[in-house]
Amino acid sequence: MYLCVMYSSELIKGTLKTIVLKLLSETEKMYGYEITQKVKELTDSKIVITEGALYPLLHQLEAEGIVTTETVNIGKRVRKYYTLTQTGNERAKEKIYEFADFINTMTILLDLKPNIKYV
Amino acid sequence: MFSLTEEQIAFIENDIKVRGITSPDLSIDLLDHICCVIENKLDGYRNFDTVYQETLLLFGEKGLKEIQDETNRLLTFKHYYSMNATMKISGYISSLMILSGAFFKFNHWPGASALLLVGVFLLTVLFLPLLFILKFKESAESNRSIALSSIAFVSSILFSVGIIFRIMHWPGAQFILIIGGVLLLLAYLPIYFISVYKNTTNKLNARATVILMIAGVGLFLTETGMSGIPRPTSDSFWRGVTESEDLLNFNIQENDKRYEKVAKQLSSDSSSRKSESILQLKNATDELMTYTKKMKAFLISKTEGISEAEAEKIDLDALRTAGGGDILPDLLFGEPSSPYSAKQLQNKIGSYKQVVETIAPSTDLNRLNTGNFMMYGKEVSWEQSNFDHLPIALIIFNIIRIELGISATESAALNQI
Repeated sequence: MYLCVMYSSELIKGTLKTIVLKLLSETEKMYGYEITQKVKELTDSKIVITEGALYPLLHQLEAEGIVTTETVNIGKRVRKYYTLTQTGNERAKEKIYEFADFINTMTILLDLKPNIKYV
Repeated sequence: MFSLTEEQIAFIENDIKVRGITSPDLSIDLLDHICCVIENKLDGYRNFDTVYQETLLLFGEKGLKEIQDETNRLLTFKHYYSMNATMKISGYISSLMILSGAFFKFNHWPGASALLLVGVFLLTVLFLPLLFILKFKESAESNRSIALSSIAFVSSILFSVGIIFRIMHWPGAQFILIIGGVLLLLAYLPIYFISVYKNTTNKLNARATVILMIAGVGLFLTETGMSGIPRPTSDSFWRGVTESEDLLNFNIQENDKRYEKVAKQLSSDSSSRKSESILQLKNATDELMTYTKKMKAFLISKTEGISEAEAEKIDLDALRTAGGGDILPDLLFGEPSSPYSAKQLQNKIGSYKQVVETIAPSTDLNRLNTGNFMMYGKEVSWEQSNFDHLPIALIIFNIIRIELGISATESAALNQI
């Protein structure tokens, strides 16, 4: 699904939604390209979201009422901004909590000496 | 950072369309995204076309179209749950309504037809289409399973529409049902056999399904084809009906001639008591015959959905394939508002017999017996044996027989006076 420089795709399959929700919950509104760039920047290009995975997800989230869109004219073209709704904010919290919990469990399960830098 | 010119943007916009993106919503996203990528790559040395082609590579081997397909897949998956829930609920409700409708019908309770009709309607317009759509989505890869579910869908729609037609006594029910059955037998089964039987490890299961389906559809077709009167008997039976009607008209004419003859004799004899009896007999007979004639027209108009005036003139041959076994019991037994009932006819025949008895006491009244009698070792009432749960054709035939009895009794009474 996504082009990933560092990790095997099955490892991060299913985290895309969490990543997008987290980013949207921190910023008032974002457009598609901005999201891909932000992820690239935050992960030092270790994770790169592909367009092929991002846009289907954004449209699904819109259909589920998790995000709303607004369009802004940029010269000759139109830019679509995505914003989390009330439900979306709650969903973002749930998803992030769930993933953090999963990481803790995996840390115990794999007996890792945590080297995670919490931001 | 460079900005793309209007022409370049228009070119990309058009190219997105050419590459198969039909959703305007998605093409807005993609256009902006591609423009952003290109604007970040352009540095004044590189040419737009090269950068554009390079950018397209980002979208993978299958290109932009793949994004739209993936979007559609995700969006329909979202509806999957609500469709599935609607299908389940409509399935439960319609099967409950059909079952209780059948139970009501069996007990002759009111509302049976309405329950059945709404149940089958739900099944046809909600359950079956949803089932088909969901099945279709699941089996999107194989042509055979698409063919299988389409045929199953069409024939199940035909079945339920045929059953609605049958319940409502609309013409063509039998035809629709038979087409549905034939489609299952000749189209569904062969494809099912080829695709499932060849690919399954559990041959016993597949074989059992095929045999059960052949047996089930076969029995259904036999039942549907034979409903009403079986054809070979039907031809000679129908000759009996039309000849009885002919015989009845003949008797009525002969009796009329006799009245004229007796009237002539009486005018010379001038026996007022005799002429009064004869007038009484004629009036009583006419009254009863008018009632039976109107009763026939009323019943035919109800089952065939035509006016009573049309029904009176109908060629009895038109009733050959008519069913009407379901509304007639309500009209003849249940509904108090029905102007013609089995009981009323029985009472009218009873008072007619009384009139004949007072005018001509020695007349044989056995042709107009309305008491219970034994049928196949069971005691059956006169109303039941003549009118209960019979097709319209048989009920009309029985009324003609009763009319024949009336005209025979009339003629016997005339001889006695």
